[in-house]
Amino acid sequence: MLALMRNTFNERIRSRTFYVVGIIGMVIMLLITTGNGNLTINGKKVSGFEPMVPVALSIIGFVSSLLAVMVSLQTIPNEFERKTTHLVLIRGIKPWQYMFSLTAGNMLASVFCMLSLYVSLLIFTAAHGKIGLFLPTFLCIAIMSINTMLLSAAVSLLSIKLPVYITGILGLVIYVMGVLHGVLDTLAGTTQGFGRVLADAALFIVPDFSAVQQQASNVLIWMPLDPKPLLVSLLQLYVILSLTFVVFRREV
Amino acid sequence: MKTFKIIYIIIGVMLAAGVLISSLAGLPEKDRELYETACSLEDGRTDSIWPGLGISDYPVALRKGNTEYVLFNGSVDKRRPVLPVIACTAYPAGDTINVFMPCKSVMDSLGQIVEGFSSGSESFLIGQFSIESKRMSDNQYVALLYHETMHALQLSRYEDLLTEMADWGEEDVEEMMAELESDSSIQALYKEQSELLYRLVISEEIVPDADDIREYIKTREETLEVFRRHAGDRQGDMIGAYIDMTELLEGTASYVEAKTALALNDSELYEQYLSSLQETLPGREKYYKSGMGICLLLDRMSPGWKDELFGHGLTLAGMLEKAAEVSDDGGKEVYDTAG
Repeated sequence: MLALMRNTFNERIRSRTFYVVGIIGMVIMLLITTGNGNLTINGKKVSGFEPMVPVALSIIGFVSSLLAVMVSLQTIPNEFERKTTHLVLIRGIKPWQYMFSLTAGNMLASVFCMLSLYVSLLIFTAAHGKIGLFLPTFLCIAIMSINTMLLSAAVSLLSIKLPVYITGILGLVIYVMGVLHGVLDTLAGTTQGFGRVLADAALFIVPDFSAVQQQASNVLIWMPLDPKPLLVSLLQLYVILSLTFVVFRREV
Repeated sequence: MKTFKIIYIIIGVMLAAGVLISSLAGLPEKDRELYETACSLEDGRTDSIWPGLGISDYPVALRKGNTEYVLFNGSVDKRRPVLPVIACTAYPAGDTINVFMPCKSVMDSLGQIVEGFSSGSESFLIGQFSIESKRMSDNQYVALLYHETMHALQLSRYEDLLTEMADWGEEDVEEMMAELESDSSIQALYKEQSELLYRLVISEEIVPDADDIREYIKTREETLEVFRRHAGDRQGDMIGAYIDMTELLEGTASYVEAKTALALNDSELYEQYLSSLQETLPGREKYYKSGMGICLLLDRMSPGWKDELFGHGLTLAGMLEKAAEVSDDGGKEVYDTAG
């Protein structure tokens, strides 16, 4: 299983798409952390390195989520397309081990993508002599990686059954709904009847990325951390990974 | 493989247990803290905000998801939500009036939604994708708690009066007003009203100038006259009664909200309430502001007005007019509501 994960990981980080998007993300981040542009947040001009850190973290969080979708989208369908599946399965590897390993490999590759984007932020933090920012930034990244892994695992699971383009669209829908989860939850609370039941069901399935982001933000400003959203997200990740044990294509 | 399975199952059990334990934690600590801050104002400060006002007199139901945490008499009870939707209000539940509020985190989301509507979808989306989303301040939340507590006080003490005031038949006044308010002359008069009221409230004179107050009242009457011209006398009177009632109910509650900010020593938040008087808001919210502004003027012109307002079936505008008359007769005299 470990060998399968390693192979998936290696193959994913060789992908040209990954490098192109990664470089674009890095350039954006470098511009943000070094530029003295006219960035304003909530009507206030943001200047200096320290206030730029949350901005950089947000942008990297967004870019790495898109990367997670792209990285995880094709791994499993490609295996079926290239008929690698048969070669693997005749070697005594069970379908569930195979799907689990591919999903875990996707997750690792997504987190690696994210970290490679964040490295330059950490370098800049050190270069500006803001060593005090190191620990909260690092913890913030660790928390944000839960969202990346969750998104990657969800896309990988969907890709076992669905065509690539549908998986891609669903991946983006999950991401956007996850980020807007808090707001959608509140809006659902203002409705009644069948619409409410439907909204509650949808929001139960979609991971709450906004709650995890909120905790990442709390860490950054030294506010108390609520472990519940993190544990719920990790449990959702666990459930998704467990589903890879039972979901497989007929060809497998 | 056996080891993998065992470790995998243990991780699952641990995660499920962690979620279960954290779910049993009940009311978020933050909300408990804010409620306690609100209760701490009962050291005499709430009496200066409104006589007899006290949050601990009513059960406060804080809603988070599908659970309501009821704080009353030092205990926190969990129950299914009484109201079908999230709401900030005061309403009878069982044999007492309850104060209903969403938890702080839900209020933050609501605030973001409301701001999204006013500031445009672009900045709303940027805010959502950012890890640092805009949140309501703690003091603002406590002030809102007191806004709803004021409604609980109104309901528990003057329910009959309020029911009588709201009795204007089957017609939908709000709908009628929304239609009429698109008229440019009414909009211009609203703008003039809010500017005049803001100037009066922020003026540094201890007792505001009676002429300015009369001008403000005149503009209000002109607005009502335009309503009458467009909708007829009967509907015009209904609109007048609706404005009076909204100002009485919501204006006083907004006044309590602003004064709570002051009691919390949050002058920045208090200033925000004051500058909101300049805004011409759509719908009934403009009467929250005008009512609040009149209350702030009555504070300076008519000490004791709070004791008389509800008991004698008065309106805020009526009281202000009386106060201006007294001020006019006796120079900078104040209007003594007790006679």
